[in-house]
Amino acid sequence: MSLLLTIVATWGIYTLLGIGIVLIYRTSRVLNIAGGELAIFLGYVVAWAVADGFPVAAAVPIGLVAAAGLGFAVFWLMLRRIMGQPPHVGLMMTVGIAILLNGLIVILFGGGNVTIDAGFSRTMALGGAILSERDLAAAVGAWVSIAVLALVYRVTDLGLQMRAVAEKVMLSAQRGVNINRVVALSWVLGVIAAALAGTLHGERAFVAASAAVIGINALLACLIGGMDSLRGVVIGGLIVAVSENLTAYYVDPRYALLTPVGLVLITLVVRPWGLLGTVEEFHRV
Amino acid sequence: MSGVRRAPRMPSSLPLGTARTFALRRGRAQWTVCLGGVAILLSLPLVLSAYWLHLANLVLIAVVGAVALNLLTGNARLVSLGQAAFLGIGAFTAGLMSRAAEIPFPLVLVAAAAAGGIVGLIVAIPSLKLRVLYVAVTTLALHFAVATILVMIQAVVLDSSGITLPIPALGPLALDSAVKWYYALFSIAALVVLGALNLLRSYVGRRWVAVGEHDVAAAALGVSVVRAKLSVFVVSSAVVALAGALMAYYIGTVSFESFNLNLAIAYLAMIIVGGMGRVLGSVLGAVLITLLPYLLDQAFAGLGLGIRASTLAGIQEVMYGALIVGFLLFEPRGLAEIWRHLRAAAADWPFRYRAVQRGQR
Amino acid sequence: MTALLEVEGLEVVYGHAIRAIQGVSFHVDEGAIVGLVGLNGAGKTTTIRAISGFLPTEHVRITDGRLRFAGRSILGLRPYETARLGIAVVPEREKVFDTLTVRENLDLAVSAGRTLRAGAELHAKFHSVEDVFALFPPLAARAEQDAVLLSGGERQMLAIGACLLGAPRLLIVDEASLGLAPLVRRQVLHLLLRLNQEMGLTVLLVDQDVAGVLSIARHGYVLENGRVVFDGPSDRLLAHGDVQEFYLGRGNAGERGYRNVKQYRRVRRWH
Repeated sequence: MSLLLTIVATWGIYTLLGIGIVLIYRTSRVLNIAGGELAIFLGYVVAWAVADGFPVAAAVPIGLVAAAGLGFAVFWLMLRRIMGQPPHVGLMMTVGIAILLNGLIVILFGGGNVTIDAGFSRTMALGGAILSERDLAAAVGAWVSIAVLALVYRVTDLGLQMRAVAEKVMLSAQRGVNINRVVALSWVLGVIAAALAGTLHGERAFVAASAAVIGINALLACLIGGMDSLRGVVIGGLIVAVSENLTAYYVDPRYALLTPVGLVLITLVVRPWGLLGTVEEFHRV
Repeated sequence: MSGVRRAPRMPSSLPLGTARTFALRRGRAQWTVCLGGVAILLSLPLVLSAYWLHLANLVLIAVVGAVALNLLTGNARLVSLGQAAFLGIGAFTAGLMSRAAEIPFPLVLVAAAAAGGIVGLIVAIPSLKLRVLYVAVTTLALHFAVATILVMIQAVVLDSSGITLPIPALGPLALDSAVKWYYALFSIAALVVLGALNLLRSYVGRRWVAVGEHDVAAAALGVSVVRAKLSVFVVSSAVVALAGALMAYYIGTVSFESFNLNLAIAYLAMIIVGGMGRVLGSVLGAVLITLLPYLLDQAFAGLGLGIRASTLAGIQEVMYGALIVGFLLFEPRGLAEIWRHLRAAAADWPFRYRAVQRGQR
Repeated sequence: MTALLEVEGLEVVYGHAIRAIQGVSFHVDEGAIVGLVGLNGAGKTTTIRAISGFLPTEHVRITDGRLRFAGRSILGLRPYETARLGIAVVPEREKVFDTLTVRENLDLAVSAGRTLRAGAELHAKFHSVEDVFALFPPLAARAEQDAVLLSGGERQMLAIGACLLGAPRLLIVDEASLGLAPLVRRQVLHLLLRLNQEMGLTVLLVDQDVAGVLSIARHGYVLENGRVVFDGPSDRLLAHGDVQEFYLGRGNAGERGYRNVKQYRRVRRWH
């Protein structure tokens, strides 16, 4: 039914954004609180390109290039300086970046609701049920992106180096891995993931200044699944998507966030390192 | 600025007299400056226009909240994104209580602070085992939990219209003018500032700092990390809730929309810009960040540029972000540090450096 | 014979108070095997960290001394930079990536090692994962397993193999035989000797196993409480009375104890 498809689509989007956050966290140990704002900002870039007349197939790559540039800029200008400092500094830095982007969204793009029209209709009939074609497109887009990112992480040289740096930084440096390059690229990948998530959200719903809340959903997914586990994000995303959508549908959309937040608070008390996270990593921070 | 009578001190890294190290003010000159400053502040209502007096009141309320947040995030280094949540708790407690019955103003304030403290305790308990990163996200989750609950309260109990509060009265004196509010808020803010300074010098505060800098080492030295974290959370949340209640009474109405994440980030900006861990930093940061939107407004009006309110809000957010990032990169100790440099330079002028024989400050 | 690695007067301080190593000087000639031996806490690992660029850290700093590799100063270089110059280190503990498979560990060494390759001759012999498998058949059998499942000896082989793929000019091995059975220990040392003789790989062995190390090293330095107290050709060291008593277990060192023996207060040099 339509609710199921919505859940699958939002699950994919939250997981995608969450993967971006975890990739960044694993190599640089910085929690990217600005994930939602990055996603929406880049979603607006794509929406603006589409409104300017670019076909969607060209607008999305434009957004991805902007994402790569933005990711590298955040790494270079800001995070490089604070990589050695205690964790609260990096955290507050991302908070600053988040509100900076929020302001830019309002100034540059107006902050209002903008939908990315990829040519999908709102409704379609499938086997007797009325579904949202947009949700379907978003779901497909999200899960394909996740598969590609997983492939990069598992199979390519870069992914191997990222996994090595995530485990033991010093040993990686000794083996000849250029740590700066790997961390920079993981930021680029993380922001690209955010851009994709924002674009897909804009396609199925809309981008708006208020839509940056998807970053919170992704963070909640990461917390439930385990900050250092990519597979955990998938599970966490499912839990968040299900709990949020069910609450919105059966109770009240305004209280939708309460359920996933409650689940996260329970997780933090009972099993703070998440479902698939490692205890050692939890104590490391 | 030391007293003229004192004998030259031996250069030593140990404080040779604890009285001097821990005194609130040293020397006659500093006392004069201090009292003079207080006199100026107390006479401000006589010279300021209504508009600026209103801003001054907002600044004073922000000072209360910023000082409290700085204790938690600056000294104990527990980054908290829950500032808006606690302000909301204080404000709603005040609103609901004043709506329910004729409860005297001071009692409502105490109740609001107590509500904040209790919630702070509840939040602190899971945070005991968590490190900085997880404490931060716990407070973030708390923010959303509280924000949603406030929405629920307002929708269910109050049919979505917000709460209007009566004009508060301190004994026979009704706070019905900006001037009266100024003196009341000034007293409260002064008490909070002095209380914070006192706490930081006491063993309680020093344990907070020890836990903040290196909790493992602190535990090894016998500091009860549990008690330190609990106490700092409770004290900080209670005072923030107090600020929220004050805000509710001052503005006159309470509604859930004002307690959003931007408010929490604004307070973080106050302590980052002002100087984390320093009470003076909280004050300076509160002044700057509170006045910023109004200064921007004036600037645009003065330049004759018409600008939409929403864009102005955007510019304000960009400035907050830029200030946070900029200060973290370039002057992580904030305005308080810059102030210290200026003071030292002024004291030494025309020399650039201080001679060793003059002893320590 | 040119000195590949020269350490002069090295001093490392922990916190602001404890001198972990003081006035340490030694050199490693190109193509030689040199042993730096000592008991626990003598300062061996600290010396390696200083050479490979892991200092200064938050609490530990190099406060004096000179470090030269192939004629150029390496003081202050970071681990990535010393790796590029051709210094490979097999650490004492965290030597392999547990979450990667054996093959992935080696693939990483190949892909990251593309920027290394300081030792051309070695690179000609070792440039693929298959070369390492040929050298260490047990690794080939476990190629697709996670490295966390390896035994101590296999871990050592994997670490050495990964280092070789970077074609270093100097291989520093910290505690080559720690936790290994005596037979495996001999095999590892014999392997290092082979690498040195057949491929000209310069090796610095830092170890507690004095007998084992000095059996394959040409020259040895004995480190005690942060200072070099003896050095000389291996055969002379092995024959020295104090070394025999306190490091090789012959004589009645147990009864007499360190501090009663005046010889240790003086620094001896044998050439």
